[in-house]
Amino acid sequence: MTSSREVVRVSGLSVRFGQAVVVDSVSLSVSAGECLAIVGESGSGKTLTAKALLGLLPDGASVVVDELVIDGVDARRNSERDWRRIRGSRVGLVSQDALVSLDPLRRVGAEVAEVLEVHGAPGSGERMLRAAIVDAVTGLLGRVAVPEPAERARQYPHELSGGLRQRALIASALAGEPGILIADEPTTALDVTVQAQVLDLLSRLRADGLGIVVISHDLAVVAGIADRVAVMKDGRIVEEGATTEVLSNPQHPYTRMLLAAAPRLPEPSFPELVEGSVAGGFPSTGSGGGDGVAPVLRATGLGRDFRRADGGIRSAVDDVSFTVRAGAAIGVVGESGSGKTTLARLLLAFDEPDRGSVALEGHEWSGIPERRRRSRRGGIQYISQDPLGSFDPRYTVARIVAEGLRGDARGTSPGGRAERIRHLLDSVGLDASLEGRRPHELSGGQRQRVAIARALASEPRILVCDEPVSALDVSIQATIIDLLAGLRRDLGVALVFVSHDLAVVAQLCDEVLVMKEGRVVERGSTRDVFENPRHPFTRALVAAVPRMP
Amino acid sequence: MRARLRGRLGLISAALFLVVVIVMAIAPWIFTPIDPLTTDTSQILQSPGWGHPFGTDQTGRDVFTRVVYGASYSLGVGAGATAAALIVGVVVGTLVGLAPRVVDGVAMRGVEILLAFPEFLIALFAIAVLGPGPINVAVAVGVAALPAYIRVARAETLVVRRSGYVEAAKGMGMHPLRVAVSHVVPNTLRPLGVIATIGIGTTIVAAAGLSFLGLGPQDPTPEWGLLLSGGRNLLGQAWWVAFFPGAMITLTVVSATVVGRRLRRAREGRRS
Repeated sequence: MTSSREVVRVSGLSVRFGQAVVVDSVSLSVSAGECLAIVGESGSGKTLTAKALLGLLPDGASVVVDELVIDGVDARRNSERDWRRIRGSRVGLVSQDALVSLDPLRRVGAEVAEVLEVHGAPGSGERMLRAAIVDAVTGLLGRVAVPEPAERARQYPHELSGGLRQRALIASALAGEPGILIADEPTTALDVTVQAQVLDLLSRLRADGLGIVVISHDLAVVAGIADRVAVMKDGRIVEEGATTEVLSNPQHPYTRMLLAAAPRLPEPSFPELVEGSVAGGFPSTGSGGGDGVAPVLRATGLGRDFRRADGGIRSAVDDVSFTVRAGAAIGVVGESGSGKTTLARLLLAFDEPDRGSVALEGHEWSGIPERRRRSRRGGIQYISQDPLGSFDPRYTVARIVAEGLRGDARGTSPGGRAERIRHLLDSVGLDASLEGRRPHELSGGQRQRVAIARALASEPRILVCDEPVSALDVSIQATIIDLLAGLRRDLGVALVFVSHDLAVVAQLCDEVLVMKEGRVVERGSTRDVFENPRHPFTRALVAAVPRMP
Repeated sequence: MRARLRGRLGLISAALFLVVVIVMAIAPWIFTPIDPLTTDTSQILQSPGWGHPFGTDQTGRDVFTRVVYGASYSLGVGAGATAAALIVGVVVGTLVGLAPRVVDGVAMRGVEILLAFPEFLIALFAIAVLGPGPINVAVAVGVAALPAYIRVARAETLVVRRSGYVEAAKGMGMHPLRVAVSHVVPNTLRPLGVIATIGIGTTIVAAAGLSFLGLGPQDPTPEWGLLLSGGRNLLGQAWWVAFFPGAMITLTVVSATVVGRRLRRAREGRRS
């Protein structure tokens, strides 16, 4: 009991599944009013560590722990019953996806009230009266900055935005007035501006004296709120210390690698920083070779409408025009629902525009029958966020890539085709030994490489990438971005890169379109737009990006 | 742990039983030296014992032999009708799933009308149209099973059709027919194959039911449903004539269902 009370103290925590040690003698502690961030990539054991603090480890996990004190109570020998008493009242959990965590058939208020019904009034544990519960719920929603809390409490989860849902979830975690809040990737599913608001809320709660454990894969996200950072790799904490210390002076090579791999946005006030950063400038191919030659892709006044549930019309894409020259890279950024993906689908002619047109290599591409497009499809290829879903589960890697080969390559000898497949795999940095694997046997990064190899098989002039790295770990993300940049440089492939992640776009693209509600609100060279944003929305977007100190 | 072991035991015995029945269907002479049609008037209605493990019937035929020989017909109808229904169901279901919405709508309402009637009633109706006979029983049972397969095949087709890999194939400029053959049909077949394993059981019951009513093969033929109906009037004096064919039908159907369910669970487990 020094300056402030310790709310969690764990030492020597190990979790194993059979022979596999997934968490290896982890020790950590959190005091009231302090925020500890556990950072690591997928498979690092960070989520299991957090679950161990709630007694929520899955069946088959065996746990060894020297010390496990939660809110002053020894929890080592807790039965399931004991854990149930602790969860919600002493430890609150906020999980990643609020839409999944909230019961779709219950009003938000009922969800928050449930904690009070189960545990009784915070502190005393007495049963609460109906009216008292309603008041408490309204108060809680107000505390997490939900506007019009009384009205919101009567709504269902699907009627709330992602940010409000996450707040409601935080409110239900706070209902029992726990001393500690465990937040597992609390902002990963959120747009960057909403993420900033939720992080802001968490740091306010911390200032109110709550102990917080944040689990994240993203160092930049936690940099703003965490007092201390613990970096996990392969079940161990490889580095722990004050946030500023770890970020500015990382000791462990893995932390350094994570920091180097994290894409950064150029700082608005210090443009010269960009020059030296990993983002390293591209030779601007955009203006050079293009003049006089037909652009690879030209979109003119594109519009696409969808009918809303209430019968009204919503323009998902409205009056979007741009051209992509050979070898250029253009980024499309915006929040979810801004029409980015609809735009990508229009460019790929997976969907027909209601207004405007698309031209590919100087010839009309939209508004013509599919059979006239078929032979030209090899020229424009698609990389999706979910490569696994884009592979036939029965196919091997070789067969997946072979499918992308054009008709003329299909005609060549089997030996020539095998040679070509090996060459393609090699060009995306995959070993030929993976040829016989099936998609589910590959890692996330390998899958995305296979998807890129397949796309390259038809020797496209342009790749349309829809959030191609969003589902990947930071270090893998960096290698895929390097790969795309290399392909652009070596093969002259043009890129349309759709992403919600401004930093990734800044790294890869020389031109950017900022979309909001289906319209392009700002465009220009990437550096101009991000360093000197003019439109208020772009400004908000750039300001909301979490930055490392 | 014990429950799991018990589940295993059930599964293993069901699978073993099915293997035995399949061997009976293919090579009945392994199990019995007697001819199923041989009558022996000196051995009428013998109760089960050393010479005749399942006893004999009213014309002195060995019930065990007749049950063994009956396996080939019952299993043949079960497997044949299910396979036929599966193939036709996949073809029709896939086409309907890929067809324009109007065609899909009309076809599916038709399928739903058929589904509204119990399968056995449809089989009876088919027999009424086709006339009785051993082959017609198989056809009738297959027709009755068909709507369910069409429905599942169509649903699977819709799922596969909207999948990322079909879109990817389209994006590579592949012809829709090629997409259907190389992606859609193979991926719809997987779940259907599992459903068909369970379906074999239902089909065997339906075929036996029709034979029981005298609409299938006629008397000297050893068929389980027919054997059951032959022993029906003797239940009071010679229970074994009806009991053993009935037990065979029940055990075969239960085993097919147990094994089929297990396959389905394995598949779903792998999917998630």
